[in-house]
Amino acid sequence: MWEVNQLTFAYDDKKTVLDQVSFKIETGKIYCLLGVNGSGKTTLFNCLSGFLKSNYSLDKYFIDNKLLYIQDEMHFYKNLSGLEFTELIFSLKDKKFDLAEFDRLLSKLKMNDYKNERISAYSLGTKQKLVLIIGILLNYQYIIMDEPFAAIDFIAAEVINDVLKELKEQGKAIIVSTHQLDIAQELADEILFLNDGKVNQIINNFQTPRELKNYIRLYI
Amino acid sequence: MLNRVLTMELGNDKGLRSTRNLLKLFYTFILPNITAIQFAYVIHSIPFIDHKLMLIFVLYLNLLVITIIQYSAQKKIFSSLEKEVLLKFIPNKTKLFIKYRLFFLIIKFNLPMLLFSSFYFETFIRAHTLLFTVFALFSILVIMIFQMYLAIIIRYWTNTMRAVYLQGLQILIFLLFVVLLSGVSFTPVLFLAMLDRYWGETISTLFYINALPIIITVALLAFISISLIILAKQINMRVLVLNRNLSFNLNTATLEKIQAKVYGLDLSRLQKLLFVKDIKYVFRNSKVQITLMGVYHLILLFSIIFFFLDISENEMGIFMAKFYLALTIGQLILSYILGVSFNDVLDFKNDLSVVGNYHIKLSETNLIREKIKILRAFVFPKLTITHIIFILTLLLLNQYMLALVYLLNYLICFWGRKALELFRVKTANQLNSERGFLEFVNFIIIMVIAFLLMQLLNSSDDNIYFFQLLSLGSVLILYFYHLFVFKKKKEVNVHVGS
Repeated sequence: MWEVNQLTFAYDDKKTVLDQVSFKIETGKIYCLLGVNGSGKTTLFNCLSGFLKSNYSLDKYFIDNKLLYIQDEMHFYKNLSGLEFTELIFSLKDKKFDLAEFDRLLSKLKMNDYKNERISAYSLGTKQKLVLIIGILLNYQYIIMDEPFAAIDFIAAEVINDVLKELKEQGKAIIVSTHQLDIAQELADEILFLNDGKVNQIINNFQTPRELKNYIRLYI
Repeated sequence: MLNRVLTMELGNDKGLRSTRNLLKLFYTFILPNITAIQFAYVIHSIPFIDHKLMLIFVLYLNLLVITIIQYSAQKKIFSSLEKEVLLKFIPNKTKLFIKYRLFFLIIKFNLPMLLFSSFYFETFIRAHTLLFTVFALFSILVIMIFQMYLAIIIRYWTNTMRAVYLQGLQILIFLLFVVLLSGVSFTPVLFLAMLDRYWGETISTLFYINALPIIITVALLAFISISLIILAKQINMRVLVLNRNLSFNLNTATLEKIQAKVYGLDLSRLQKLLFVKDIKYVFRNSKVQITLMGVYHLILLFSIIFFFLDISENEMGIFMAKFYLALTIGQLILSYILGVSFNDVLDFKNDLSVVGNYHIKLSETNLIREKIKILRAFVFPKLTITHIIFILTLLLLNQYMLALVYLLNYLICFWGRKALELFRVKTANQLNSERGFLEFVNFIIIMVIAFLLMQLLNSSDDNIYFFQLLSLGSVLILYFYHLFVFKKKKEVNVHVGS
């Protein structure tokens, strides 16, 4: 279990974006982080993954080997193919690359045609899928995804949903930030609702996206 | 709009109120032009230059510069339009923005060459009057307008042409580039002719050229320019913004592997991985660029070695050692300038972002060393192989002292190359110190090196070693100064967690 306790963060000492945020992440579960624009979702992810320095610190081994943070804007070497890029990341991390598993995941995410295509030709959604594949292959225990459904069509979103559920079955913990309440209601085991710098952790017992929406309205 | 373009040219938004920016403008846009005019008169006054050959060479250089500017306009200016935020908000200013950007590019790189050519040609015109000076200035204006509109039309064609025709056009342009670059082999011919005349003490005789062909050429260019302006008026400038994928998917895997093996020998595992990735990038990014660099190196390498092996034993004295030193220094400076076109691969911002995404540790020192290798693989001259041939030949001829002169020359050039490579990589990553005092010291060291090299080239056979050692020492000081002192201090950006 990953426990975040009283995380506080402020940009330039002026406004406290995250105010003593606490929540628990258990493996084998999917969490959806919800919050209005500017509520600090990306800031929270950046603090959790060590990109922003806050009062909360994780041990280096955890950050480097257990946690994958898929940002809304990931960086690539666009003149490499998807396969070459993945192989390079594995070599840089000094880990063994499983080509058969890579092919299986490509097939599952309907990306077979892109294997030897240069990343410069990928759409935003295809790039997101590639990062997800790398994350799965690197076998991270905790996966954080910032707005993974923002740039993809509903068919690709369904495929990603399936993959995330499969990862959950394998005992991984996934935290996804999204504005799409239907996805959150369908996917999440628990909702992390970020408002006024605080996180409210609630079990997802909502039957419909409307119920979730109404709950959020009440909160705001 | 002009402010934005100035910001891009100057690298900061302080505008013309900053003294540093005014100096930068002077060094970039005024000093090269004054130097070019001075240089034209200096060349004209050197008695042993074969001016007929030189005139042809200047014409060739103009063609080469025009081609390189067209290439840079497409590769650097037009391809960056898509990311220009200003154009997303005020798209109606696209035409003006493009024109300003092209104007600065042409003024920066083409105007000095045009001024040099005009003033050099002018000295060979019989009717050397004010009228021809006015005509020369008019010609420069015509060529600049021609350059600007040609770049716009080429971009329009590449963005709208059918794929089949486009590939045909690309092959044509590629061949043109190769033919033009083959002209670099003309440089040793020119030097040989100069040396022959110097040894034979041949003095140039005064001659004049007919101005009519020049006038006809300029008139033709003016006519083409007007046509291009009319054509450009009819096109939708927004079409120029989008980047079309123009690259051929040629199989360059074998070349990539050879390059990586040869130049990646002494790199660490991580550096080698990034090096291989960058080699792939360079090969895939521009086939034109990579072929040109290849042709350039092959021509230089073979012409220099052939020339050395061709000269007789009697002529192989200290003078030739100095001649080769001057030639190599010239190559190094040219390579440093050419290195600008590799800035996108030398910039390691993206490397740090990519590895940061996956929490992979990579130091700046590692990256600098890897990027330096890229420069060595593609841009800087192959010093070691040429000097091994020089020194071995001299040793076989029992000319041990002369071999020592070449060895010391090699060491000067070797460390000079290292300093220039380091400077180029640091410049591409804005890692040079911006402190005025350190910049001043850097300038002084470079001036001292230039002075010592001039002394070395003018030294007698007795004191050549002394100046060689002094030059070597000063070049080493420059390298270590860049490595340890002349660097930007890291800004630590720590956010507050209470």
